[in-house]
Amino acid sequence: MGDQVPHNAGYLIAAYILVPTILIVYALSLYRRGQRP
Amino acid sequence: MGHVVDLGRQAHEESSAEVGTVFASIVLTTGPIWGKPIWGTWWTWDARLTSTLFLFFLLVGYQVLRGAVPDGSLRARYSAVLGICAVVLVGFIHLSVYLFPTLHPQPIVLKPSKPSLPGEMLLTLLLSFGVFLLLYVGFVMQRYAIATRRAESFHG
Repeated sequence: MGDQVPHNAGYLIAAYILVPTILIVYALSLYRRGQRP
Repeated sequence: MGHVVDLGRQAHEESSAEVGTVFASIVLTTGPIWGKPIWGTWWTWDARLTSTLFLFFLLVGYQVLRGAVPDGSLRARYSAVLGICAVVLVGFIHLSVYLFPTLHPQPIVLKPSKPSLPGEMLLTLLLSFGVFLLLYVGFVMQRYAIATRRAESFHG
């Protein structure tokens, strides 16, 4: 069991960083476009 | 042409396509990240991946088209055609695993028989689906507000 987690951890972390980053960047772009008069 | 362009529906289409592009880019980046450790490859040119990439390009093309056609009525017509193509492609992507040999498994949830997925995986999937559906609705509402305001200021 113990050796399964470290093997794929890098991919998991990459996905966990990537998805929120894309969503936050898009949300910020919407926010900025919404502020523009 | 003389058609009355429904600005509200236009704004909704435009918003939905843009959010769809963002979500498609998430699929196309997280899929390979999952595929590398599980299947041993980042990418393969099978029917589902290729058609999903094509869908992404269609959606990007949709954005470009909406920016490139100044005439409102023409823009509505052209983008509707592209939008219908994209919707048809979504169905094709789902059925592509039946039609072509592929790395992807046969549908395990959206199929005539009962979902063949362990309960906790199905629960996780449905929960994530719900969360992303909410995100989609929220994004589209925000984007819709921007699009209608822009249309109002444009048309006076």
